[in-house]
Parts: sequence; C-alpha cells; structure tokens
Amino acid sequence: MTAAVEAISICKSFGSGRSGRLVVDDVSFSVQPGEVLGVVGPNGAGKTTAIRMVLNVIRPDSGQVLLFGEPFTDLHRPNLGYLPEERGLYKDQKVLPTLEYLGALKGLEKQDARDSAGAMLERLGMAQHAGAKVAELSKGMSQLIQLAAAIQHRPSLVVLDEPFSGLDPVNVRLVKEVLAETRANGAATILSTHQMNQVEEMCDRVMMINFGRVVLHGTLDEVRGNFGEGSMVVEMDGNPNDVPGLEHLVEKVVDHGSYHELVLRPGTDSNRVLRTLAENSGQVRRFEVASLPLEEVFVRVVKGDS
Amino acid sequence: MNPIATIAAHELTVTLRRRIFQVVTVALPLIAFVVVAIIGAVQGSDDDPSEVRAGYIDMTGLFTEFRAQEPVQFILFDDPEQAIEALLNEGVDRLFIIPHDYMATGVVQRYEVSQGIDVNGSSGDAALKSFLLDNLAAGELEATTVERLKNPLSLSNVRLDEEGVIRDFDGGRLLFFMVLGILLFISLTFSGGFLIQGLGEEKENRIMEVLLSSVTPGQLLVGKILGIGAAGLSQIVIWVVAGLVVIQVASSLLPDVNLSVPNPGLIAIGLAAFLLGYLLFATILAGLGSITSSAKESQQLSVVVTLPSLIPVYGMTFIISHPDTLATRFLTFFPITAPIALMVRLGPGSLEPWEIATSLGILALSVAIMLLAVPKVFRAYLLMYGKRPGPRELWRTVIRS
Repeated sequence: MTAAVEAISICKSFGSGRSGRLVVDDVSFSVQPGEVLGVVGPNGAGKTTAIRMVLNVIRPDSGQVLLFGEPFTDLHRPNLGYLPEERGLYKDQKVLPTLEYLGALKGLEKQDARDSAGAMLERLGMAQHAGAKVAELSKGMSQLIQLAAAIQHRPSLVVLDEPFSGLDPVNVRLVKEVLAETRANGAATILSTHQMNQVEEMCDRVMMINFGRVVLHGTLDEVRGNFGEGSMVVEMDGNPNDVPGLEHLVEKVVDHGSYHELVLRPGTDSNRVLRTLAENSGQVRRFEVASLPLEEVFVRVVKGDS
Repeated sequence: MNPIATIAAHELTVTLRRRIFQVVTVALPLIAFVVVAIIGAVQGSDDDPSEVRAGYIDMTGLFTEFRAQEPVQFILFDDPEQAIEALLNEGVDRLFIIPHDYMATGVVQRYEVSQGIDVNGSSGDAALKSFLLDNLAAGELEATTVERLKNPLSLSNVRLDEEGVIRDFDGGRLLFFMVLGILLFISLTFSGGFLIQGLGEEKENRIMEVLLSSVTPGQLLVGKILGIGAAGLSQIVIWVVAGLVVIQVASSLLPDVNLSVPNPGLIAIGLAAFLLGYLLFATILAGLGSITSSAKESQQLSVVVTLPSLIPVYGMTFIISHPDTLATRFLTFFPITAPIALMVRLGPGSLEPWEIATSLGILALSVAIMLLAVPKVFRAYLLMYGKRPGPRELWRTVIRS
C-alpha cells in the first residue's frame, strides 16, 4: 500500500551563520492510509516545523516529503486537512461563510462547500451557531469550528496539532468520535499532542522528536518495550505509598481508583517489589508487571537527552 | 473555482463591507458636490441684480446718464441730507460722493451702513467703474472703445517647445489629472492599508497557516491584490462618475471656468499609470506585511513607500515648470514616484511619448519583478513572528529560493 505520507531525511534550519539553528534534523517517518501516527516531544522540539514541511507550508532544506507516493504538487492541497496548534479564525466573520470560504479554498464548489460545512456543524453540535460571528464563540466552540474547517472537505491526510487542548470532556469525546470516523473512512492522521493518554488511546504508532531528531519511533508496545517492564499494576488493601521500604524501589505511585500503578526506579527487580509489598502490607489481590506508561517514557527520554 | 478567484472574491466582499471604505467612497463625491454647490450659491448671489441700489451725489455735474449698470441701479441725490437719510432707511444700499476735484484726483467716497462683509462689493465696484467710464466717454469715444477700456485684457497663454511648436495648455486637463493623482494616492493609501491590515490580522489570528496549507503564497498574494484592487477600482469608478457629474454641474454653475474632460488617450495613460502603480504598491506593501508581526507594525513600515510616492506632489510646481530637468525625469522613471509624477505631468501636457513609454515600461517591469520576489518573501516570513529580517536577509531569501 502506498503511504499517505513519507518523509525521508528532512532537515530544516532557520537563520544563517552563528544565529542559525537546526530545527529539524534528518527526520524520517511514514503514515499509511487509515493509520494514526502520534507525534510527541517537548516544546520547541521541532514537531510543528516537521508538520509544516509535510504540508508544504515550508520547504525542507534537504530531504524529501512524498504524498501518496509522489513529490508534493498543488493537486495534493485539496487532500490535506490541517488544524494548526496556534489557532484563530476571522473574528469579525460569521461561522458558516468562514467555513464555506475555507472549503472553497480546498477546491469545493460553492454549494458543496455550503453543504459540507453545514453537515460538519451539525455533526459537531454547532449548527445553531452557523450565523454567529466567530468573536461571539467560546474558545472550545471556536476550536470545534476549526476542526470542522480541517476535515469538512474529507481529506486523505489529516494533520492535527493539539486538537484536544481547551476542550471540555464532552467535546474531547466528541472529537475522538469524529476522528475515529475520519480514520474509518481511510484518512491517514498525524496527531501532535502533549497528552500522552490520548496518544495511547488513539495512535497506532508514535514518534518522539527531541532537539529536532527522532529519538523514539514505533508501535506503542515497541516504544514502551524499549524501557523494559518498567511499571506494575497493584490491587491491594491500603495505599502503596504507606508501605515501608517501597520508596527505594518505586519512583512514582499513580492512583487509578480501584488500583495503583507503580513506576519502578530504573534497574529495580519486580520480584523485590512484590516481596516488599507482601511482607509489609495487607492482602495483595492483584499484581501485574506492565510496560512503562508513555508519559514516563517521554519524561525519561527528554531528561536523558537534556 | 480557481483559488485566486476565491481569495479575490473573499477580499472584495470583506473590503466592500468595511465601514471606513464605505464612508470614504461616499464622502469624497459628497464633499465635491457641497463645494461646487457653495461656490455656485455664492456666485449666484453675486449675480442677483435686484438687491443693489446705490445713491450718489455728483458735485462735478458730469455723471448724469447710464445709471443702470448691472447689477447696480445708480440713483442721483441733489441734497446730501436726503441721501444720508435714504442710506440709513435702507432706501439705498450704499452712497457714493463724487467730489468737485474728482477729475484731478479720481477719488470717490463710498458710504455704507456697517453690516459686516459685503458680498456684492466686487460687482458693485465694477458697476461703479462702468458707470463713471460711460459718462466720461459719452460723446467722446465709440461704444466699442468704451467696452474695451472696461475690459482691456483677456490673457491667453500659448507655450512653445524648444522647436517652436505650440504646446497646448488646458487648465481643465491640469485639474483633471491633479485630482486623479490625488485620488490615486488616497486609493493607494486605503487599498494598501486594507491589504497589510488583512495580512497582519491573518498573521495575528494565525489563520495564515491554514491558508498556506490550502493555496500557494503566490496565489494568496495575487488573490488578495486583485480582490482589494477590485474594491479600489470600484471606488475610483464611483469617484470618476461622480467627478464627471460634478464637472457637468460645475460647468453650468461656473460658466467662466474651463472644465473640460481630457481626450480618451490621455485618460487611458492615466489609468494605466494608476493600475500599474496600484499593483506595484500593493505588492511591495504585501511583502512588508509578511515580514512584520502585526498589522500596526506593517502600517508603520508602509510609510517607507507611501511618503516617497508623494514627492511629485510636493514638487509639483518644479515638475510643471521644469519638465526637461534630470530631477523631473528621475521622478517620472523611478517606480515609486512614477505613477503620481506621470499624473502631475500629464496635466500640463509636458510629457514626450518616449517618456510615457519608458515610465510605464519601468513600472510594468518593476511589478513583474515584485510579483516574482514577494511570494518568496511571503513563504519565508509569513509564519515567522518576532524579529524582522533586514534587507540583506530578505535579499538572500529572494536569491536562494
């Protein structure tokens, strides 16, 4: 199957001479149709620049981006949908005409643009705001409108930069449903976010960028597997934080309500943790060795790199 | 629809809906109508003959005939007391006394009741002179000689070029192109302002990234320039149509003023200068808009272009009186000053055909160069915020990409 996106050793620097800065350094990745790639990394790592190169908003200094197996041409633009991180719309303009204009720029005929904009507003529960000015909308509503602008033309490649920031839980769920539908329709998705739980929930593969370079890339299991069995799930009476001696073995205890997740210190043997729990606490009803949470992987990689 | 057409239609709609655009478009013709109406009203009141009655006392006995002098009716008084009483009772509007020694001194005393400004003063004076002349010349000179004595000079200017060929001079044409030049500047200022304001807003509200993922920087630039240009052009069409109506009205109200419309060839040259000027300014301003972080900063920077473009207006007297100097030619050929310099020089008809061709050619070439260069600057800097690139960095961007 031809990849929707294939980035091959792309590099980008800004400025020149001493003030020049290499922002993206030899980054390669691909996304297949129907696949969701999570792009994670600390602020300033080069994620947005890499995304902009995929969309041909800026051009790489070296390397190549192939879209659907061929170098970028203007014919690819209608197949791209983009929700940028720093968002905004024409504040003095009304919602529906704004969506119609952005749809028309993606090649939709006037009536098609109107119909698809109307359908997206309906799907996102925003139909009653079609005649409102953007300035009158809340931040979350405005974000839904921009998501509509990104996918109303049914693109084959959707690039979303922090799509969940500023949304309430109800709208987070709504956006997830809509993105699942987009994916089911065969669109490839690049999802850049700092919310690791969303990556774990939605992405097939994850790529971590730090200082412009790819530092981790693979399926979620592959990425977490690189760090060994770094955590444990425990169901027990009482709180693991109160167990004497455990603080030397466990870096962090995450309370999930009915169970606790113990993030082990690097090099800790899981049997020793089990022994400590058994000797110093009440009944342990469940004990599972698990991979390190993605968030912990992220923190360790970033700390290690820095 | 083609993306350029989509962007142009959007920009046209947005610009036409701007309140300031609507106000300026309507206000200028209205002001012109009001000015013409006021001038017409003042002239009309000058021409009203029924209002003016002038009494006079003639101590020389020479001025007894020709008392009806439009718009003044002269009424002879023998008794000074009756004359003063008539003036105070408004039987007459003013009173003249022609003393015994008038023939030696030429002095005539005028008495008026103080009521502020006398709008009939100048026509009243002309009527008095005519009255005196008619009486002095009666029986001595022929009527045509007397008429010529009253209006001895009607100056008609004829200008020759260096070869001795008559260069036509037309005050109406001078006025037409002067007004067109001013309109060009106003329209450029507003259209350019809208362009960089729009770009600044799109940078500030970050919708620029979405636009650039949908269209090329070149399409965005051309679409914006065409859309806002169409709005500017519709503004100019409204002004020109209103101007033609004003000229018609003014011609009927002010028959003494020569207000003719220049021939279509000259208007075409003026419009070509106008369109090329707009394209050049809009492209440069768009480039400036792309390298700044906000609409406010863009507008401050745009002064670098708009102020020098006005040099031909500051130096209008010099340009008209010294058409063959190096400075005048430089202003005619330098792209930034060329559009308005052309307007200023089309008025007095001091332009040679080769000068027009060279100036328009340089303008067209400059527009083409800017249309090639600015999209590169657009692509490089539209998504950058913070430090503004210097001229050297801009040059490198244009050359490299």
